[in-house]
Amino acid sequence: MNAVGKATKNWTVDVISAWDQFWFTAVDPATLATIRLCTGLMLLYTHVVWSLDLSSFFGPQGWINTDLLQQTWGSQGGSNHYFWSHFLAIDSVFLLWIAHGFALLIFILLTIGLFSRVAAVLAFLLTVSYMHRASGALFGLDQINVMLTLYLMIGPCGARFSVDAWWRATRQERDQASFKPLESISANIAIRLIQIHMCVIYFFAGARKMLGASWWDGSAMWLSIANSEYQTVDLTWMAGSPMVLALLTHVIVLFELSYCVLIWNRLTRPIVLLTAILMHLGIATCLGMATFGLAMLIGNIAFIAPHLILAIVRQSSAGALQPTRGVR
Amino acid sequence: MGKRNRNKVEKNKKQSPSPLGRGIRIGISLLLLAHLAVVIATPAALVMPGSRLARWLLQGAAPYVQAGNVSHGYAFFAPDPGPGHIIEYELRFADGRKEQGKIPDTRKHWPRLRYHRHFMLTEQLAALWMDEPPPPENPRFDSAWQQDHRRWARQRRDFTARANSYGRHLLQISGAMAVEMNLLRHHLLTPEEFLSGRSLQDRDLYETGEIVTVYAEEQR
Repeated sequence: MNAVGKATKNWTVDVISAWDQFWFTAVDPATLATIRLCTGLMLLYTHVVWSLDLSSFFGPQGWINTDLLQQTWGSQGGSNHYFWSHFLAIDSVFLLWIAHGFALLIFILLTIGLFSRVAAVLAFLLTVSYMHRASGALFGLDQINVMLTLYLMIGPCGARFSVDAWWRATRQERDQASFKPLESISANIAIRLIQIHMCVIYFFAGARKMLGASWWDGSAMWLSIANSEYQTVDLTWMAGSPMVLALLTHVIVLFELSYCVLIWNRLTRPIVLLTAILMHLGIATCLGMATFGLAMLIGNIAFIAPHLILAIVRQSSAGALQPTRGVR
Repeated sequence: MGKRNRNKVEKNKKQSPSPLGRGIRIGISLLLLAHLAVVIATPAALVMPGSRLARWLLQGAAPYVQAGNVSHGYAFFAPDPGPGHIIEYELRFADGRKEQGKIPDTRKHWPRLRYHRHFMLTEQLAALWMDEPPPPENPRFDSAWQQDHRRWARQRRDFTARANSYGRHLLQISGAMAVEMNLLRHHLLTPEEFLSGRSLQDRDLYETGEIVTVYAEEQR
């Protein structure tokens, strides 16, 4: 074999090995469990708020009535579309509340981590169904909610910080033979998928901004601040600092476009995460989208190593539910 | 490959083999690649003018993308943060009473998430609001105009259907005989205009767009 052939073979072996290591390394599910806990709370809050206008958004004569919904689905997906929602089979207010109560129960189970895997699958199906029916009242929060629930189904999201974990620890104390390590490949796959999906979200959020003149001339930040329909904190005093506004505008675009590269480097990751926290908390407090800002931060948890989460939990003595065994 | 990554790869090679067999790893890898292709293709297809390859991929994956709500466009405040939209409405009752309201309403729609849901209703209606394209002065542009006009007509039909759905809902929850809805566009001030003493709430910043009236007898 000549030198080029040998180098190519070595490179191929290295690539396959790196791929296997990236996807198929077993990891502690602490990161995934933290995401489950936070996503569960977010889903619960999101759907409790739906309760205030349940018939208006999910009843047959709601803001988007069923005829209009079918028409919208048709225009988005053609005559043979695959959109669905269990709300189309519900035509009484009583049944609507029963179905909604069931959904809230599932989100509670997911949050506390009881029957976690089943709860995760049902939470995903319910989230999709609510989204399909409430077409017309959705925004970024819903996109992040459905993305996170999709990946929670894949891994053992209830293996830590949950009632399931507490039960398992209790069983293991009684029966030492039933001990199983917590590290799991599926937890790694779920976390990797969230990480990559977050990169795609930020990249395209930045790429789509590049099509707008205001993100180039630096006025986009002012346009967001001056929109009183969004505004929750009045930042119009910044009108006198156009250079600061332009700098913030450019930082947002640069951050979004570079996230997918810089987040993977261990040296730049803390800076990227800190920027994400500042940006999303800013959106949360000033532009009235606390839920969206927090949902994006939940997605960013995927980049926090499980051992760090476990160290934080132990330090703050909040790990009453976590088992003491199975950690390296 | 960097030294650190190479060391990791070398270490991984020396470790015990993965508990998953090669066939399973290949199968999972193919599924992951297919899923990630869809995740990337969706926003790529939605960035105007949209990738042809991404659109072709999404056509094939339509059952997965649509049924699972798998991926989105992720256009947050893009391409430009634009003006806000509100609906001011007047309900007319059989006894002659009139009631005014607006969507969204900070006083009525609390907590903020609830306000935002209603705000999205008006924003999505406004996204369909489009002026009829004027006929071209030069007949050479007739076919382009006809294309634009067909698009406008489609959008106009969707706008009317959505506005009527909102109107019928308002009639249903209020028991009114008619509702007149006025879609307003709230234009934004420049920093210079703001510094000259103008207010974000100046009435002349609200442009009246479409006035739609829905009557109770039209309800099915």
